[in-house]
Amino acid sequence: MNISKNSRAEMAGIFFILPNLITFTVFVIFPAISGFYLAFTDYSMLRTQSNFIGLENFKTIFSDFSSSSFLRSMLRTFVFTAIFVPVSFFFSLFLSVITTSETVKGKNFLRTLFYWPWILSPVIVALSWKWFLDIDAGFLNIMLEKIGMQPKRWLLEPNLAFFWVTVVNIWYVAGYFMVMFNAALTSIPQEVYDAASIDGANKWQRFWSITFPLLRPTSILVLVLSMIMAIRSFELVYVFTKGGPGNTTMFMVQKVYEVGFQDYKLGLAAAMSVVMFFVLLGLTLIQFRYMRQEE
Amino acid sequence: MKKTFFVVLLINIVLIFSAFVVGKDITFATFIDGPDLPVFQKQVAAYEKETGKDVELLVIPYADWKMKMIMMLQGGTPPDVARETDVVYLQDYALDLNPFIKQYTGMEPMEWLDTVTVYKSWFKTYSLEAGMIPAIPYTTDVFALFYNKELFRKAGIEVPTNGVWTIDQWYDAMLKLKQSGVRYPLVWDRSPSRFSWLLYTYGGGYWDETGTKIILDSKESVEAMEFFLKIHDENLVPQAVWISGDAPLKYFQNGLSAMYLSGTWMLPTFVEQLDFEWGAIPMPVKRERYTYSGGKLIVPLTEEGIELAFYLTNKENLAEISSALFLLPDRADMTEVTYENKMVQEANVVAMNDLLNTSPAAKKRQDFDWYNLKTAPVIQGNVSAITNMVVSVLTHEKTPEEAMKNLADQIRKEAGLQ
Repeated sequence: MNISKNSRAEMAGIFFILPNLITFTVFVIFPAISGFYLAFTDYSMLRTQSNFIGLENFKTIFSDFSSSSFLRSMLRTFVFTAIFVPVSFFFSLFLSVITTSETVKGKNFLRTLFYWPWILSPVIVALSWKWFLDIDAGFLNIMLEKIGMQPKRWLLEPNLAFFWVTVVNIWYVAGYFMVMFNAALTSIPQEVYDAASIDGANKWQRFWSITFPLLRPTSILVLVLSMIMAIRSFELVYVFTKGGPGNTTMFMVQKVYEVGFQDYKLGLAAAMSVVMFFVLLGLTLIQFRYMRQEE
Repeated sequence: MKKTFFVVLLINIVLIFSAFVVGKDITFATFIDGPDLPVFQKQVAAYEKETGKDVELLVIPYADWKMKMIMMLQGGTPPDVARETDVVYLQDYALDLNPFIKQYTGMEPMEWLDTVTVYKSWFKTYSLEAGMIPAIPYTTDVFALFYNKELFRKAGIEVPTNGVWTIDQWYDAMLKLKQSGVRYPLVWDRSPSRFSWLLYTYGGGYWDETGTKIILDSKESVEAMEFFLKIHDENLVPQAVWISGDAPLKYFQNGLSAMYLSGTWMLPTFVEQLDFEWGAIPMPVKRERYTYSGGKLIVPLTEEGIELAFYLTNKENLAEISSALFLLPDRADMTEVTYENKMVQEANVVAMNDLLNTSPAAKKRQDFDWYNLKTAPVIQGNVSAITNMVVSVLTHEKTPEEAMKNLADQIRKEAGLQ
């Protein structure tokens, strides 16, 4: 049988992607489809039998608005995302401007310092900050006591705990996005700035009229990535506050984990994941539509 | 060069797959409490030498234990033997050991059951109701209220030696400790079952003594919760443990807390890590004297594992593991237990006394809540809801009545009582 050169090339391509395709199908596609099915059952890991219950799980989700409910955790996640995304964007851009500025000394050291949190495990980051903010033996409260101030319940007051969860998450990711901005900033040709200087533009004008627009592709990437990170927040927050005090720092993913792997109600947890999927899909479609309109 | 590369690649693939193909004869899965690992390794090695079989000791962290076990069971690849704390969820997978008891122990099944359920009366009830014997009781541990003797001496407090404190006397002791400069008189494990102790001593619980009614929102249960809230509000107990999931041991270990409500499974950790004199106080009493007894069982999940299961639970091996972990062996002919370590021995005597004097009614409620085939699953499936309920009260999001009524109604609905 004569196989043409093109067909052979095609077959070779298929064989090269086949292992990845099989792995992807077995470990991503199949579980996702199973998850969709489980969402309509009362499957509990404590029992071997499960029954099809239609939309009961979704009714349970949408009829519970208590502080420990999935809906409230979803709302909390959106509030967190609404703060996390812009603050981490501008903060990492600020760090990038500092670490690429010609007038700043010790740029390499600063770059390493700002990037350092990102290379640590989120568990280490969470534990370190937890100890730092501990009400009894935390460094911050010890310093406050030394200067005659009352120690604060940093992680026991809901608003303070939420504040610190946001701050620590931003601190953790800023270095990562800073590196992306660095790559983009250093690729902007110097001639563009020289031309603007000749035309009389000052530093701020050069930044807003040249730098910021030229950073657009990287900015979009940073915004999308930071939104995904915020919505998927789990391990750092779980180790840091366990979703407390009360449930004030419990986000969506932790709620799904709690229902699925602590209460073993996998059917209900799967239903929550389905809701999460459609919410994320909606947000992503809105974002892509916005990006296309801008183009 | 290409040829060499492919030969090396092929060898690697064969080696990797051989690790899956050339398996051990028997898998024994367990979590580790500390000094038990070397004991298990020694006993497994002795078994291998005696029988010529290969045993894989599969150690799984306790935090992942139940999930990992469920996944293995539902995936059809259970370990041959497992050391367990709970058999309720294993009901559909466990073997009936009835036909094997005489062969491996020389005793008739009922005689054997009486011998091994000296501390686990629930297991006998469970086996009779289920019509099968799904596991071998192994060791028993007991809730205990540990205390720092040095801090108590400094506060001038004497612990009861010929009786027990009432809850009010215990509260007074906490106030005295606070006045003497102790940061937190008491630290309490963040666990629904540890919290449940308070419900039981107040005369409350989740299921009643008949296992037919939910009593979480009864007057007695609410009163217990109010006490729990009070000692947190007055800063007698660190709020960070229940509200934010802070680790309780560090408070006791660092002298920030004078008392620690936990259990005898902590004894090996205390011996290893505490650098002060400590002891145990009899569990305080409100309406019913009560201490929670739990522990471990050895569960063979395949026929290949039955022999190893009985081997691990023979008198000699049982004595060895109990001694290493300072636990009570589950045998009526091994109840006389003494330990060389003076503090461990004292704590053990106090815990045994609590156990022997536990109110039968409270014990019945405990068994229906955590061990009964029909009633326990609904409580076990609401473990995080129970924790959330307690936290919602401690953060003043809900009143005790409100929080407990909500959860009680939810449990009633899931149990089909509404």
